[in-house]
Amino acid sequence: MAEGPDGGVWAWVMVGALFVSSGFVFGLMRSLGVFFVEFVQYFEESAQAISWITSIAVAAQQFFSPMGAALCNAYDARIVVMTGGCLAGLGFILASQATCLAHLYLTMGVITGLGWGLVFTPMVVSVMGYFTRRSALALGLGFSSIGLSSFIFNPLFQLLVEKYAWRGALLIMGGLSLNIVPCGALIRRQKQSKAPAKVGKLSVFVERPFLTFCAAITLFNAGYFVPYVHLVALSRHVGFSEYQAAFIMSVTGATDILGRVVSGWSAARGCMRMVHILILWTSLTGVFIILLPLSSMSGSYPVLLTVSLLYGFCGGALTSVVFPVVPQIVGVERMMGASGLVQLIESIGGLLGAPLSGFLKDVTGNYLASFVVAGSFLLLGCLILTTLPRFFQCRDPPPSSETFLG
Amino acid sequence: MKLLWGFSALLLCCYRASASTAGFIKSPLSQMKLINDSAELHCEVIGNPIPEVQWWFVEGEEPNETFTQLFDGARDDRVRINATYIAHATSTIHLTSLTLDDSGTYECRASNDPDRNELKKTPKIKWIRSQANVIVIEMPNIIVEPAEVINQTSATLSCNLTDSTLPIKGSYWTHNGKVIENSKNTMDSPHTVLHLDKITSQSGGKYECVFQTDPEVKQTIEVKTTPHVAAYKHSEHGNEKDKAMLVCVSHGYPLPVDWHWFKLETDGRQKPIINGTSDKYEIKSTPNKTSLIIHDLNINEDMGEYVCSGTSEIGIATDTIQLRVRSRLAALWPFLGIVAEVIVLVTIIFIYEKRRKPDEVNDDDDSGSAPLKSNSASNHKDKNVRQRNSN
Repeated sequence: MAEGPDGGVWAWVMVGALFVSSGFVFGLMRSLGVFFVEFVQYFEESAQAISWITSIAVAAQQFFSPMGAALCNAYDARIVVMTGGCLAGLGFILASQATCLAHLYLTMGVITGLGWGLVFTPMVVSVMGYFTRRSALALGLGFSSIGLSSFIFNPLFQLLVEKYAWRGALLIMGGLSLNIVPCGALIRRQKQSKAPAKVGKLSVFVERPFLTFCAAITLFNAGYFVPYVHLVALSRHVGFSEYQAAFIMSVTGATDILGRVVSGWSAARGCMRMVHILILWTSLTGVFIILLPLSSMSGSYPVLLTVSLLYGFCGGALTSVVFPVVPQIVGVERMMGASGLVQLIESIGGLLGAPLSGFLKDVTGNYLASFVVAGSFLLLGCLILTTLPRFFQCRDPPPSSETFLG
Repeated sequence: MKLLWGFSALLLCCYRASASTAGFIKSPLSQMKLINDSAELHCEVIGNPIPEVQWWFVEGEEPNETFTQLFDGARDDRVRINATYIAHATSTIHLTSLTLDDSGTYECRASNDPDRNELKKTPKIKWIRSQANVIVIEMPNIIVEPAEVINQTSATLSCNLTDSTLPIKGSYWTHNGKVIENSKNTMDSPHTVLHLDKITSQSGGKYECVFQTDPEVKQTIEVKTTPHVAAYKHSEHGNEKDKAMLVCVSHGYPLPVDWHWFKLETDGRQKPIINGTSDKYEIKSTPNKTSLIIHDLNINEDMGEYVCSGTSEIGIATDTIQLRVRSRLAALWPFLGIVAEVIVLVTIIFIYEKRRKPDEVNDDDDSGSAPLKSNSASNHKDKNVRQRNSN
């Protein structure tokens, strides 16, 4: 069926590289909280001012993704990723010498975020270049490090801060981030056409399928993170202890890893269309998000734990299949640019989602509305995806260089 | 003549139709207060035109009553009168720092008669009056046992309300202003008891027994404990040339008034005071928290144990903090190790590639070399195949 590359030794080496680099990008991103307390005490600033550091880094990663993608199209993915790795490391190294909060915004925020933006999308697309049917599996395996690394990095960084103080710890983190550079070095010259060195990636914007996809993904992002932000608070709101709430989060993280791998593996079997799989996992995630506050109201800890596990699994599962759908919509040549743009646009959803749910909680006094709205965003996104052309066909469109564009 | 009478009567009716005599809508209420307390009497009157309100103090018994008018600022500024004349008249008289001599009858007088202040006419006819009694009593004696609790592990506090004929509706206890839940009772007993089984620094403070009489009477018992001093973090780290902050907090009642910091030498103690070496040490203290900031850390001199000590009237409590000073370059070695590892990995990858496929990519230094055109030739086939299988 698939005549393109779908594996091979180097393909799996690339998956390993994706594993390592995703761990160093998102795992680090999620472990910055360790420095929070140190910065508040050292710089004597408010919690909100310190939180901006992470917000800027996350926003920069998503914002610079299209740029990273465009640079890959124009130059060489390998150079872009290696540069990104150097920048990410440089950001932390410079941050270790910071004397005021603004320095941190610039170094840990902008420079590192820029580096991450130059790393993530190019790595993902490079890996996908080695797979056709099994791209979801490859990504699932590659992304499984994200959950794992926050397990490892959180206590590790705590230890580093104890031993070396935050300056020393940041310096070492900069060194660790440089490990992304060898990952980038592993990228081989891909046999992609150089034709799209025309900056025609913006042409995707006038195509309805891409816009539809972006709208759906933005809605997904608006709802997806809400439990990560508010689940602990919800658990404590109904009376569970800090440890019980933290345990729920750990367990959700573990099933997230499992979901990514299982979904990637099952998608590779080819029994269902990628888009259908995406809708399946996303709608399940939406349903479980809505069930979360309802199960917490039952007062039973096992019930809440079970629903959280299911949410974690489905949430992880959907991440493995999001990127593989992109080339089906815009074609392989524009996959790189489109992926970058998707990152940028979905960041809007991410930015708005958590504050919106926080606002709903403030207004209504409990988390029911926040979670229901978040789950509804996911379900709404699924509905939007059904409007993609040729959605209801049972098989993927016949192999041709055109795709959904008809 | 009849016409004149009729006309006068008509005129009088018209006049009276638009005017109305003054009438009370709110009268002042009688009350009983303790010495040094304050009292408030309130009076509201309607009428057209708006009536004037005055306050008078009545002493003595009929028929030998003496009337004294009260003004704002009377009685050494202990009297305050607040009046408004919008739509209807309201007036409130505040009496502060009550003494026994303030007891008596207070009269709110109102009139809207235009002749009310005419000296030639009898006042009583034109003013309406409403009275209230204010009784000021001495604080009844509450016998407390014990008067003070100092440094005990447990205690029983008791209050006995003697010397009072006031009816008791119940009683309760408060701790530092907050009502203690289980201490409420609705019995009319003048005797109430509170047990403190285990006195810790948390349970120290001011305890008040409150009797629900009218007015409420209460008495305070202070429970004093030795202060409890604890360090925020028992082990602190600092970087060379940087600054370190050592913090101690304290709980209990009363809180320490004096904080001292010591550095533990191998022999005895040494005191850093603010005035001593002012550039190096900075001490900021409040009753419940003290912090010692050490600037420009030196590995040899500043590393070691520091003792914070808080002194209150009851006793002294201390805690120890261990300060470790890291050389600024300490993290440099692991860092260089990791960078070396990265360089080795990248070199290996490039060398491997060069050996395996010498006809494809040439060596890549750090900042990109342009892609070789020779690649496209060998990969055209792959490229086409890839494009067709776009799922």
